[in-house]
Amino acid sequence: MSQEDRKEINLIRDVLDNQLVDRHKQPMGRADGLIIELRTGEPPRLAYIEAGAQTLARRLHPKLSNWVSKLASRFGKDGEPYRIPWSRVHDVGIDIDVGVDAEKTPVMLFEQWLREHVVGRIPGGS
Amino acid sequence: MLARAISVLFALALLSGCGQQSPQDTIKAELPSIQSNAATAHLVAESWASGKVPDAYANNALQSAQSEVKTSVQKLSSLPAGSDAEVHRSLIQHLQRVQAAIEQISTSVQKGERTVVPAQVKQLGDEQDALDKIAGQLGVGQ
Amino acid sequence: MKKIIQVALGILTSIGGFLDVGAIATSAQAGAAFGFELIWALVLGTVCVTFLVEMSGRLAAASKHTLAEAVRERFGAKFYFIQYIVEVVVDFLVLAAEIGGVCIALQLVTGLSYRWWVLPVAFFLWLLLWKGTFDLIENSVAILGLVTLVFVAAAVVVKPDWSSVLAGVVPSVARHDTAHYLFIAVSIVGALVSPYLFFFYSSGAVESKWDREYIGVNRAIAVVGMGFGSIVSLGLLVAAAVVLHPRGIQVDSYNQAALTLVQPFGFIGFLLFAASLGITCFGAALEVGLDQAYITAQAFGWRWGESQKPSKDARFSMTYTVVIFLSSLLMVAGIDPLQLTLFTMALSAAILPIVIVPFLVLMNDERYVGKYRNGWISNAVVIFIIGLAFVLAIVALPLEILGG
Repeated sequence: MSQEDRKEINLIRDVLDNQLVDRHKQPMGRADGLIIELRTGEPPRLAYIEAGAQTLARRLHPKLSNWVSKLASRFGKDGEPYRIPWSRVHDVGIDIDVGVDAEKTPVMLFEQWLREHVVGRIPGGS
Repeated sequence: MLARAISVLFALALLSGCGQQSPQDTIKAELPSIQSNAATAHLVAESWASGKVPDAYANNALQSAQSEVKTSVQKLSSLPAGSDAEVHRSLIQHLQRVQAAIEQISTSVQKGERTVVPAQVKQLGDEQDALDKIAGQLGVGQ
Repeated sequence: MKKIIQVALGILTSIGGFLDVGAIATSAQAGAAFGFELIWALVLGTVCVTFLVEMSGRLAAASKHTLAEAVRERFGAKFYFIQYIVEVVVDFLVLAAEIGGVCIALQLVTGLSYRWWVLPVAFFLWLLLWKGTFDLIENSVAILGLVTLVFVAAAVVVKPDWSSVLAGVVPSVARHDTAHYLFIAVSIVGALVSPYLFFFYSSGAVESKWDREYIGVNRAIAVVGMGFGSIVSLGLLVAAAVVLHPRGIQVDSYNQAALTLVQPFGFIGFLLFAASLGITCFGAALEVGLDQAYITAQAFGWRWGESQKPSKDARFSMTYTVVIFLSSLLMVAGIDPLQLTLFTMALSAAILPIVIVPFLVLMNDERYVGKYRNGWISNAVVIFIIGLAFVLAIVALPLEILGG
């Protein structure tokens, strides 16, 4: 978004929980959390969108959150919240378009693991 | 919240349900089931005799009707006779005859004796009529 | 011209997609136990589901959102996951019941117990989802589903007293056995107004890339498709009322339901009953299995789509794989398919408000549907019928369980 282009966004209504779409137009999870940076002497700044099972779980129930992080630590890094800097957000409409490549981010780790170890080994999977 | 309310309702219903029943209630519950199974056996056997249903289906349907009736009859036989012992004894007798008629048919169908089945079906029909009559006297059944 | 073909095709594919094991089981039971008395429940259910299916198509066409996505965004994660869990549990039972229906159909024809068929059927189901595309699945279900018209033919052949049939349209109180009467009434509504239908239908519309152009087509599909489904159900109810009710035969198993077609059509009728049961249940099982994957993928924002290769949406594909396997285990365990079906359908009616209330809010929200939002008639009809079904369900479910 350019500096001149002024637009107001209702964060909870239009950003939180909405679909994230990467630069190849592929779905890459949902906006599970919003991180605001507080700076001394300056107005607070919207810093990141967080995506990940742990962020989501924390919003649903603290116990669920513990359980998810235990599960995540057993299976590697998936579930750890991934932060997308607000500067990478290209457009907020029905979906949130972000300028990253989903396949290179941790949000796709579980998908990639399944693709490689399970789906790819079943005939007709790929 | 709603889900919890529903599950509590279920739990309560399960706890209190299917518990003690009066003999009259048991008859009320079991008799229509026996009549239904007898009528099923009747229609299935009739259809089988005229080649409208496959053997496997007829066997299966008759056997399950037979075992359902058997269970119900056993349940009713073990009931205390209550005030009118005469009527109760007569009811049990009729039930046993219905049960026997179904068993006969089931055996014949198993052996593939297509020619004897129509007569046995007619026999079952007579027993059903008699049962309906006594059920009517008791004020239960259909 | 192209538009007309498109409309015709859309309507054709909608036919047969709206029937399932619940409709067959509840209609047969209702007719056998209460004659024509419960036709009103079928009419209410049909009206309600027609409105709701139209809405879910309109939501998808106007907002490009599926129902699950829209609820997730509009009501947030917390509410969505309550709805999600309830829906997943009920879908799980419905899927098991549909698989059970297919296996019973195979048992009828072969004589081999349904439990032997569960795993092969589940495998075939999975294989179709794994290899097939959305259109292939929808079209084949729709065309094969036309076989169920045999129930309508049966209703005509058995020569019912049509004035009594008409009288059944007017709601009445039970002449006997009120608890069971209410339970079957609720199950009929729950079988017709299956919550999975709306999630599934809107996902299918998004998957087929519907836009505002489709709003008219969608209306036609909803009316014709649901009309077809309920005419078939009505046919079965009438046939059961004429063939089974006077003989005092209750439908405690599918063996008895089959007699509704054996009586008028003989051996062919028997085969057509098995075919109708098998095909509708198989089609519905495909839909419910997919639905589980749709609502899960949409909850987490995963990539989803039945027409893609499984490797393109591994999590989506693995969801239906796991779900089909788990549901089939319930059947292998030997739960009676018919009892499971009836119970699940009544449960479906009980959870309707959780699904329908947010749905109605969305359909009145201009940010989602713009000028295509609901009129007061749609709102009133749906609120009335869902409210009624919910109250009846809350009364009837415990009563039925109490009754043993």
